[in-house]
Amino acid sequence: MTNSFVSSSRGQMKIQQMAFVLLALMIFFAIVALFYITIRSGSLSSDVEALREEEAKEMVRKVSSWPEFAWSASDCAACIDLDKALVLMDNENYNDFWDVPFLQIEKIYPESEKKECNKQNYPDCSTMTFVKEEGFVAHSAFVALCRYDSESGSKCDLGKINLGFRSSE
Amino acid sequence: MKNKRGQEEIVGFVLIMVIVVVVLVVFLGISLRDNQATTRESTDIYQFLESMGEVTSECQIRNSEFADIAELFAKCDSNELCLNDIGSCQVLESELRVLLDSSWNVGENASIRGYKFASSYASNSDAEKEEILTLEKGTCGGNIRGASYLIPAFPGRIVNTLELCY
Repeated sequence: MTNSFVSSSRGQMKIQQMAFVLLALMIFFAIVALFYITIRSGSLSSDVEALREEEAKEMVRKVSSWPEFAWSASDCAACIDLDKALVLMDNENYNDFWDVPFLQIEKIYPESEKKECNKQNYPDCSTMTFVKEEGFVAHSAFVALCRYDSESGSKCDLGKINLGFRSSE
Repeated sequence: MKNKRGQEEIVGFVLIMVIVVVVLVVFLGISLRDNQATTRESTDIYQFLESMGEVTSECQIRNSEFADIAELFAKCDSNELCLNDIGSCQVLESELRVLLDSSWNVGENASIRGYKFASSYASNSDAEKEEILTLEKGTCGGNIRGASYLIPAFPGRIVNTLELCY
Protein backbone atom coordinates (compact mmCIF):
# COMPACT_ATOMS: atom_id res chain seq x y z
CA MET A 1 0.00 0.00 0.00
CA THR A 2 2.75 2.41 1.12
CA ASN A 3 4.93 1.34 -1.85
CA SER A 4 2.22 1.99 -4.42
CA PHE A 5 1.52 5.44 -2.85
CA VAL A 6 5.21 6.38 -3.02
CA SER A 7 5.60 5.24 -6.66
CA SER A 8 2.36 7.08 -7.62
CA SER A 9 3.57 10.40 -6.11
CA ARG A 10 6.96 9.91 -7.82
CA GLY A 11 5.14 9.36 -11.11
CA GLN A 12 3.14 12.54 -10.60
CA MET A 13 6.36 14.38 -9.89
CA LYS A 14 7.82 13.05 -13.16
CA ILE A 15 4.74 14.16 -15.11
CA GLN A 16 4.95 17.61 -13.50
CA GLN A 17 8.64 17.86 -14.39
CA MET A 18 7.92 16.94 -17.98
CA ALA A 19 5.03 19.39 -18.14
CA PHE A 20 7.28 22.20 -16.87
CA VAL A 21 10.01 21.35 -19.36
CA LEU A 22 7.49 21.26 -22.23
CA LEU A 23 6.01 24.57 -21.09
CA ALA A 24 9.44 26.16 -20.87
CA LEU A 25 10.30 24.88 -24.34
CA MET A 26 7.04 26.23 -25.78
CA ILE A 27 7.62 29.63 -24.21
CA PHE A 28 11.17 29.67 -25.56
CA PHE A 29 10.06 28.83 -29.10
CA ALA A 30 7.23 31.36 -28.89
CA ILE A 31 9.68 34.12 -27.89
CA VAL A 32 12.07 33.16 -30.71
CA ALA A 33 9.18 33.11 -33.23
CA LEU A 34 7.89 36.48 -32.00
CA PHE A 35 11.35 38.00 -32.30
CA TYR A 36 11.77 36.64 -35.82
CA ILE A 37 8.30 37.80 -36.96
CA THR A 38 8.94 41.30 -35.57
CA ILE A 39 12.21 41.58 -37.51
CA ARG A 40 10.68 40.20 -40.72
CA SER A 41 7.60 42.44 -40.59
CA GLY A 42 9.82 45.46 -39.93
CA SER A 43 11.86 44.78 -43.06
CA LEU A 44 8.67 44.02 -45.03
CA SER A 45 7.18 47.43 -44.31
CA SER A 46 10.41 49.14 -45.35
CA ASP A 47 10.40 47.01 -48.54
CA VAL A 48 6.85 48.17 -49.31
CA GLU A 49 7.87 51.79 -48.75
CA ALA A 50 10.87 51.39 -51.07
CA LEU A 51 8.72 49.76 -53.77
CA ARG A 52 6.19 52.61 -53.60
CA GLU A 53 9.02 55.11 -53.91
CA GLU A 54 10.44 53.30 -56.97
CA GLU A 55 6.99 53.20 -58.57
CA ALA A 56 6.54 56.93 -58.01
CA LYS A 57 9.93 57.60 -59.61
CA GLU A 58 8.93 55.55 -62.67
CA MET A 59 5.75 57.63 -62.94
CA VAL A 60 7.71 60.87 -62.67
CA ARG A 61 10.06 59.69 -65.38
CA LYS A 62 7.11 59.22 -67.76
CA VAL A 63 6.78 63.02 -67.88
CA SER A 64 9.77 63.04 -70.26
CA SER A 65 7.69 61.09 -72.80
CA TRP A 66 4.79 63.57 -72.75
CA PRO A 67 4.61 65.16 -76.24
CA GLU A 68 4.80 68.59 -74.59
CA PHE A 69 8.31 67.79 -73.28
CA ALA A 70 9.69 65.02 -75.51
CA TRP A 71 13.02 65.65 -77.25
CA SER A 72 12.56 64.49 -80.83
CA ALA A 73 16.00 65.26 -82.31
CA SER A 74 17.39 61.89 -81.20
CA ASP A 75 16.01 58.60 -79.94
CA CYS A 76 16.27 59.41 -76.25
CA ALA A 77 13.65 58.33 -73.72
CA ALA A 78 15.36 60.17 -70.88
CA CYS A 79 15.55 63.55 -72.64
CA ILE A 80 13.39 66.65 -72.21
CA ASP A 81 13.25 69.45 -74.76
CA LEU A 82 14.10 72.48 -72.64
CA ASP A 83 13.23 74.95 -75.44
CA LYS A 84 9.72 73.49 -75.67
CA ALA A 85 9.43 73.63 -71.88
CA LEU A 86 10.31 77.33 -71.84
CA VAL A 87 7.65 78.11 -74.46
CA LEU A 88 5.08 76.06 -72.52
CA MET A 89 5.87 77.84 -69.28
CA ASP A 90 4.81 81.17 -70.76
CA ASN A 91 1.81 79.81 -72.62
CA GLU A 92 -1.42 80.80 -70.83
CA ASN A 93 -3.39 78.08 -72.65
CA TYR A 94 -1.48 75.54 -70.59
CA ASN A 95 -2.27 77.09 -67.20
CA ASP A 96 -5.00 74.53 -66.43
CA PHE A 97 -3.43 71.74 -68.42
CA TRP A 98 -1.29 70.23 -65.68
CA ASP A 99 -3.44 67.94 -63.55
CA VAL A 100 -0.82 67.82 -60.80
CA PRO A 101 -0.20 70.11 -57.83
CA PHE A 102 3.51 70.52 -58.54
CA LEU A 103 5.64 70.25 -61.67
CA GLN A 104 9.16 71.57 -61.92
CA ILE A 105 12.24 70.99 -64.05
CA GLU A 106 15.54 71.49 -62.24
CA LYS A 107 19.01 71.74 -63.76
CA ILE A 108 21.75 69.91 -61.83
CA TYR A 109 24.82 69.83 -64.08
CA PRO A 110 26.50 72.06 -65.13
CA GLU A 111 25.68 74.16 -62.11
CA SER A 112 24.12 77.54 -62.81
CA GLU A 113 22.88 80.38 -60.68
CA LYS A 114 19.84 79.34 -58.61
CA LYS A 115 17.05 81.26 -60.27
CA GLU A 116 13.79 80.63 -62.09
CA CYS A 117 14.06 80.57 -65.88
CA ASN A 118 12.47 83.17 -68.13
CA LYS A 119 13.06 84.31 -71.71
CA GLN A 120 15.64 86.85 -70.54
CA ASN A 121 17.95 84.59 -68.52
CA TYR A 122 17.48 81.27 -70.40
CA PRO A 123 19.57 79.02 -70.45
CA ASP A 124 21.59 80.48 -67.55
CA CYS A 125 19.02 79.55 -64.93
CA SER A 126 18.28 76.54 -62.75
CA THR A 127 14.52 75.86 -62.46
CA MET A 128 11.32 75.96 -64.49
CA THR A 129 8.20 75.74 -62.35
CA PHE A 130 4.97 75.04 -64.25
CA VAL A 131 2.58 74.62 -61.37
CA LYS A 132 2.89 74.85 -57.59
CA GLU A 133 -0.11 74.42 -55.32
CA GLU A 134 -0.42 73.59 -51.63
CA GLY A 135 -0.50 70.05 -50.18
CA PHE A 136 1.57 67.65 -52.24
CA VAL A 137 4.19 64.96 -51.84
CA ALA A 138 7.01 65.44 -54.34
CA HIS A 139 9.06 62.78 -56.08
CA SER A 140 11.86 63.35 -58.54
CA ALA A 141 13.56 61.54 -61.40
CA PHE A 142 16.78 62.17 -63.31
CA VAL A 143 16.47 63.31 -66.94
CA ALA A 144 18.67 64.87 -69.59
CA LEU A 145 17.71 68.47 -70.41
CA CYS A 146 18.39 69.07 -74.11
CA ARG A 147 18.25 72.25 -76.15
CA TYR A 148 19.55 73.70 -79.40
CA ASP A 149 22.80 75.57 -79.01
CA SER A 150 24.17 77.97 -81.61
CA GLU A 151 27.76 76.72 -81.14
CA SER A 152 27.47 72.98 -80.63
CA GLY A 153 24.15 72.10 -82.27
CA SER A 154 22.26 70.24 -79.61
CA LYS A 155 23.44 70.31 -76.02
CA CYS A 156 22.20 68.20 -73.10
CA ASP A 157 22.63 68.86 -69.39
CA LEU A 158 21.69 66.73 -66.41
CA GLY A 159 18.52 67.61 -64.54
CA LYS A 160 15.58 66.38 -62.55
CA ILE A 161 11.83 66.44 -62.95
CA ASN A 162 10.09 67.15 -59.68
CA LEU A 163 6.45 66.03 -59.68
CA GLY A 164 4.00 66.49 -56.81
CA PHE A 165 1.26 64.01 -55.98
CA ARG A 166 -1.76 65.16 -53.99
CA SER A 167 -1.35 64.02 -50.38
CA SER A 168 -4.30 62.03 -49.01
CA GLU A 169 -4.49 64.00 -45.72
CA MET B 1 17.79 1.31 -10.64
CA LYS B 2 18.20 4.83 -9.20
CA ASN B 3 21.43 5.24 -11.21
CA LYS B 4 19.66 4.27 -14.44
CA ARG B 5 16.86 6.78 -13.80
CA GLY B 6 19.47 9.51 -13.20
CA GLN B 7 21.16 8.65 -16.50
CA GLU B 8 17.80 8.90 -18.33
CA GLU B 9 17.22 12.37 -16.88
CA ILE B 10 20.69 13.50 -17.92
CA VAL B 11 20.09 12.23 -21.48
CA GLY B 12 16.76 14.10 -21.57
CA PHE B 13 18.37 17.29 -20.32
CA VAL B 14 21.22 17.03 -22.85
CA LEU B 15 18.65 16.45 -25.62
CA ILE B 16 16.74 19.60 -24.66
CA MET B 17 19.97 21.60 -24.49
CA VAL B 18 20.96 20.34 -27.95
CA ILE B 19 17.56 21.38 -29.39
CA VAL B 20 17.83 24.83 -27.80
CA VAL B 21 21.40 25.33 -29.09
CA VAL B 22 20.41 24.22 -32.62
CA VAL B 23 17.51 26.71 -32.64
CA LEU B 24 19.78 29.48 -31.36
CA VAL B 25 22.44 28.74 -34.00
CA VAL B 26 19.82 28.78 -36.80
CA PHE B 27 18.38 32.05 -35.53
CA LEU B 28 21.83 33.60 -35.16
CA GLY B 29 22.68 32.49 -38.70
CA ILE B 30 19.56 34.18 -40.11
CA SER B 31 20.25 37.38 -38.14
CA LEU B 32 23.88 37.55 -39.27
CA ARG B 33 22.92 36.93 -42.90
CA ASP B 34 20.49 39.86 -42.71
CA ASN B 35 23.22 42.14 -41.37
CA GLN B 36 25.62 41.42 -44.23
CA ALA B 37 26.14 44.08 -46.90
CA THR B 38 23.26 43.84 -49.34
CA THR B 39 22.99 45.63 -52.66
CA ARG B 40 19.53 46.71 -53.62
CA GLU B 41 18.51 47.66 -57.15
CA SER B 42 17.58 51.32 -57.41
CA THR B 43 15.43 52.97 -60.09
CA ASP B 44 16.87 56.34 -59.09
CA ILE B 45 20.45 55.25 -59.81
CA TYR B 46 19.44 53.54 -63.07
CA GLN B 47 17.74 56.76 -64.21
CA PHE B 48 20.85 58.72 -63.24
CA LEU B 49 23.13 56.41 -65.26
CA GLU B 50 20.81 56.57 -68.27
CA SER B 51 20.44 60.38 -68.19
CA MET B 52 24.13 60.94 -67.44
CA GLY B 53 25.04 59.21 -70.70
CA GLU B 54 23.15 61.89 -72.67
CA VAL B 55 25.01 64.84 -71.13
CA THR B 56 27.15 66.75 -73.64
CA SER B 57 30.82 66.81 -72.68
CA GLU B 58 33.71 69.17 -73.46
CA CYS B 59 35.25 66.65 -75.86
CA GLN B 60 34.97 67.92 -79.42
CA ILE B 61 34.50 65.17 -82.00
CA ARG B 62 33.51 67.11 -85.14
CA ASN B 63 33.61 70.71 -86.32
CA SER B 64 30.76 71.90 -84.12
CA GLU B 65 29.86 68.70 -82.31
CA PHE B 66 30.76 67.52 -78.85
CA ALA B 67 30.63 63.93 -77.61
CA ASP B 68 28.11 62.92 -75.01
CA ILE B 69 29.28 61.04 -71.91
CA ALA B 70 28.08 57.66 -73.28
CA GLU B 71 30.27 58.10 -76.37
CA LEU B 72 33.21 59.11 -74.18
CA PHE B 73 33.36 55.68 -72.50
CA ALA B 74 34.07 54.01 -75.87
CA LYS B 75 36.55 56.74 -76.81
CA CYS B 76 38.34 56.39 -73.47
CA ASP B 77 38.50 52.60 -73.88
CA SER B 78 40.40 53.10 -77.14
CA ASN B 79 42.44 55.98 -75.66
CA GLU B 80 41.30 58.50 -78.27
CA LEU B 81 42.10 62.18 -78.22
CA CYS B 82 39.39 64.82 -78.66
CA LEU B 83 39.63 67.33 -81.54
CA ASN B 84 40.28 70.10 -79.02
CA ASP B 85 43.45 68.23 -77.91
CA ILE B 86 42.17 66.90 -74.58
CA GLY B 87 42.38 63.21 -73.70
CA SER B 88 38.94 61.56 -73.75
CA CYS B 89 39.69 59.76 -70.46
CA GLN B 90 40.71 63.01 -68.82
CA VAL B 91 37.44 64.70 -69.86
CA LEU B 92 35.43 61.64 -68.84
CA GLU B 93 36.96 61.38 -65.38
CA SER B 94 36.68 65.06 -64.53
CA GLU B 95 33.11 65.43 -65.83
CA LEU B 96 31.95 62.22 -64.17
CA ARG B 97 33.33 63.28 -60.81
CA VAL B 98 31.51 66.63 -60.98
CA LEU B 99 28.33 64.92 -62.23
CA LEU B 100 28.37 62.45 -59.34
CA ASP B 101 29.19 65.09 -56.74
CA SER B 102 26.46 67.47 -57.92
CA SER B 103 23.82 64.74 -58.15
CA TRP B 104 24.40 62.91 -54.85
CA ASN B 105 25.12 64.50 -51.50
CA VAL B 106 27.97 62.30 -50.28
CA GLY B 107 29.81 62.78 -47.00
CA GLU B 108 30.34 61.64 -43.43
CA ASN B 109 27.40 63.68 -42.19
CA ALA B 110 25.14 62.92 -45.17
CA SER B 111 22.86 59.92 -45.55
CA ILE B 112 25.05 58.65 -48.40
CA ARG B 113 28.47 57.76 -46.97
CA GLY B 114 30.20 56.96 -50.22
CA TYR B 115 29.94 55.78 -53.78
CA LYS B 116 31.66 53.40 -56.17
CA PHE B 117 31.41 53.93 -59.90
CA ALA B 118 32.86 51.37 -62.30
CA SER B 119 32.81 51.22 -66.05
CA SER B 120 33.99 48.20 -68.03
CA TYR B 121 33.89 46.83 -71.54
CA ALA B 122 33.05 43.22 -72.44
CA SER B 123 33.02 41.90 -76.01
CA ASN B 124 30.47 39.20 -75.12
CA SER B 125 28.79 37.86 -72.01
CA ASP B 126 31.51 35.24 -71.30
CA ALA B 127 34.48 37.45 -72.05
CA GLU B 128 36.54 38.92 -69.26
CA LYS B 129 35.68 42.51 -68.47
CA GLU B 130 38.13 45.22 -69.42
CA GLU B 131 38.11 48.07 -66.92
CA ILE B 132 37.65 51.56 -68.39
CA LEU B 133 37.31 53.74 -65.32
CA THR B 134 36.61 53.49 -61.59
CA LEU B 135 35.73 56.32 -59.25
CA GLU B 136 35.29 56.07 -55.51
CA LYS B 137 34.47 58.46 -52.72
CA GLY B 138 33.85 58.05 -48.99
CA THR B 139 33.37 54.79 -47.12
CA CYS B 140 31.35 51.78 -48.17
CA GLY B 141 29.80 48.94 -46.20
CA GLY B 142 26.45 47.88 -44.81
CA ASN B 143 23.50 49.04 -46.84
CA ILE B 144 24.26 49.53 -50.53
CA ARG B 145 21.93 50.64 -53.33
CA GLY B 146 23.06 50.31 -56.89
CA ALA B 147 22.25 49.80 -60.54
CA SER B 148 23.93 48.95 -63.81
CA TYR B 149 23.35 50.46 -67.23
CA LEU B 150 24.48 48.96 -70.53
CA ILE B 151 25.77 51.03 -73.46
CA PRO B 152 26.11 49.16 -76.76
CA ALA B 153 29.68 49.40 -78.13
CA PHE B 154 30.11 47.11 -81.13
CA PRO B 155 31.14 44.26 -80.97
CA GLY B 156 30.46 44.27 -77.22
CA ARG B 157 28.97 46.54 -74.63
CA ILE B 158 30.00 48.92 -71.89
CA VAL B 159 28.62 48.25 -68.41
CA ASN B 160 28.38 51.21 -66.05
CA THR B 161 27.71 50.39 -62.41
CA LEU B 162 27.08 52.83 -59.61
CA GLU B 163 26.77 51.81 -55.97
CA LEU B 164 25.74 54.24 -53.25
CA CYS B 165 26.67 53.29 -49.70
CA TYR B 166 24.34 54.32 -46.86
